[in-house]
Amino acid sequence: MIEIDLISHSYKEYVKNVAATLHTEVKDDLLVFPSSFADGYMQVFELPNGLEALVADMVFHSDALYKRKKSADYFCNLTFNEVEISGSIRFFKDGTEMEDKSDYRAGVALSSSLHDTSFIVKAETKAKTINFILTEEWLKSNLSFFDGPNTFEASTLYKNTLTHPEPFDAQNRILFDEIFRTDRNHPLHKMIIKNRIMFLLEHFLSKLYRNIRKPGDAVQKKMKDADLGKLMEVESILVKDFSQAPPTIVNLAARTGMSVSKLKTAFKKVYNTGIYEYYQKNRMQKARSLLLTGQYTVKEVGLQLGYTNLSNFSLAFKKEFGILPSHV
Amino acid sequence: MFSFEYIHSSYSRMMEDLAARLNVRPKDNWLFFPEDIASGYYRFLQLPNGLDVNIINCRMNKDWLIHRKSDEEEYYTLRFDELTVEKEISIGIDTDVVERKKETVAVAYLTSSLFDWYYHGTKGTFFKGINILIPKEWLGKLMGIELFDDILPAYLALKSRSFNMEPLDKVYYELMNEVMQEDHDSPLPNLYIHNRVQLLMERFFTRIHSRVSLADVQSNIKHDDIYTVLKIEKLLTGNFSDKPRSIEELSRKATMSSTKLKKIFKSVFGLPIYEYYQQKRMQRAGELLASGKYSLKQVAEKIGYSNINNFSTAFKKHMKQDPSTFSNTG
Repeated sequence: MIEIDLISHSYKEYVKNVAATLHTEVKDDLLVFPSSFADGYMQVFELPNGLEALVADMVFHSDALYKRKKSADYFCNLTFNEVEISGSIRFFKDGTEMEDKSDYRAGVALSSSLHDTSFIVKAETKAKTINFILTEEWLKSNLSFFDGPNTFEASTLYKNTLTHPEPFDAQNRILFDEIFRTDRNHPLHKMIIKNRIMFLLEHFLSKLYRNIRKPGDAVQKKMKDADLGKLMEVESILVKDFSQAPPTIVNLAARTGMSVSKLKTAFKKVYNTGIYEYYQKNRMQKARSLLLTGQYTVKEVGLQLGYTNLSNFSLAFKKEFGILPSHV
Repeated sequence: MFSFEYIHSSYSRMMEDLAARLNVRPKDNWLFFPEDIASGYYRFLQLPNGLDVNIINCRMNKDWLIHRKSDEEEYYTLRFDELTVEKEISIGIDTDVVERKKETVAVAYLTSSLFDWYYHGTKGTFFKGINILIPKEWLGKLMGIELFDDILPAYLALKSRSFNMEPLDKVYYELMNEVMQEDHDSPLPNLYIHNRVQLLMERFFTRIHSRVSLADVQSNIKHDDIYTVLKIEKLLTGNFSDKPRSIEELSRKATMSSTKLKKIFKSVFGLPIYEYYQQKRMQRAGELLASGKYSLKQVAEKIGYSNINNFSTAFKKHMKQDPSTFSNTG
């Protein structure tokens, strides 16, 4: 098992440290993992105002233990994860252990430097993550409602952990996928990635603000862990490939081992929309972002999204955004 | 008329000057115009990455002229402007002038400080705009765009073609409106605006990039060759009083074959060499006439016509108007 210290005040230093542990090097803030540890990379992006984001896309080849000691300086860690779990993830907060045995996680977690934290990931786990360090100073100057470390304690979102994240919503999902899909050869790719990262942050913080003003029940409290994992998996299947027809609800229900009606109700509870509505919304968002690149014709985009009939595509697009795809 | 002339590579200093000129005091970088000049505001902010942004949202209550004079120091202004014109407006970039009457001009474009730029409009114009000041090194450094070093000169040189100004569509409008929405309750006031300004920039540059690279792919022009024809264009249109240079001479200067030069010139400027020359020559004549300082004969001489009749015929062909009437309307 490889042990990694989570240095949390600077991702640049963290990446250097990990490189030293793995006997490899960092180039342009990018660390490509040696295959003894994992396939994949992690990369630091410098954001405006001294923020840093750490983006990683990897498949573990070794078990790994990540450890972080609590610190006197207050800061928050915000993590967007999509993980296909091999075996389980064991998670420790101030010595208390939790174990996540579900197969799949896709969600957001916010934690703070006020606690000792560690977790163990097993080999063969696949993970995509985007992480932020939010310093107290940054929070003060950017969040009108921030009033010291206790601000977030009231929010149910804050009680999410790596093992019990807040599930992605459609907006998170779109931004998250765009960050990993951006073509690294595009001359503007860093700007595109940074902008998506900033929108992801804005979206989360706005949600946090609404949640603090008007706390609701955390989604996961209403539902068993295993079921939540299944729902997250359904969500990821839905948005994976729009060129194919989506799986039927019967098919999805069979995969999750839930009844059709239970799946429908549970999905709606977590994602606030029906299964096909969620699929269609993401599909149209994808169409929009493809059109916005200016690299594809309306016809090409329609085809990529599984429309053989262009006028059907145009109508569906107009229904979602109020304009025809040719006007984007 | 209200007129304001400036040379600035900092919008905060520009705001100070404008405030002094209007004899008002800005508050938190917001400047409200005196009613006799305009109803609305002008606002300055700085993005966390150091770029200066200004936002204007007003109705002009007087005829007006805003004029940025060309500067030795090179920087760019990325403009997103929506001008709802009650009577008329003229937009000038370097020697090119675009005139519009009773319509909405809603465009995104990039100007360079190396050229003069102005808006000259009538009373009653609604002016909404977001402008971002971009130092030359910034594009390469912060966005990592080496390619733009090649693309931008070509883009800026194409200022007279519709290629240059991009009409604002719904996506741009939405972003602009979101930036101008004055929601004081927003939990993340700065982040909200910054993110949208960044997205405006991203969208604009992504689109230029894909268009220019598409054009490149279609015509297979190398960046070096684009530079070369830019130089040739300057040479060709630098002086109209002498005979135009021959294609042979131009191709020697360009160190290309005349066939290659003609082909590349046409794909960059959209017209064959002599048609382009003639069009620029007549535009120059139009400007001279409109200035009201010269007689028809003087103008004809300045642009190399010894025979006024020949000049009139040529002018009519290009400008669809008789030169003698042109000076009166200008």
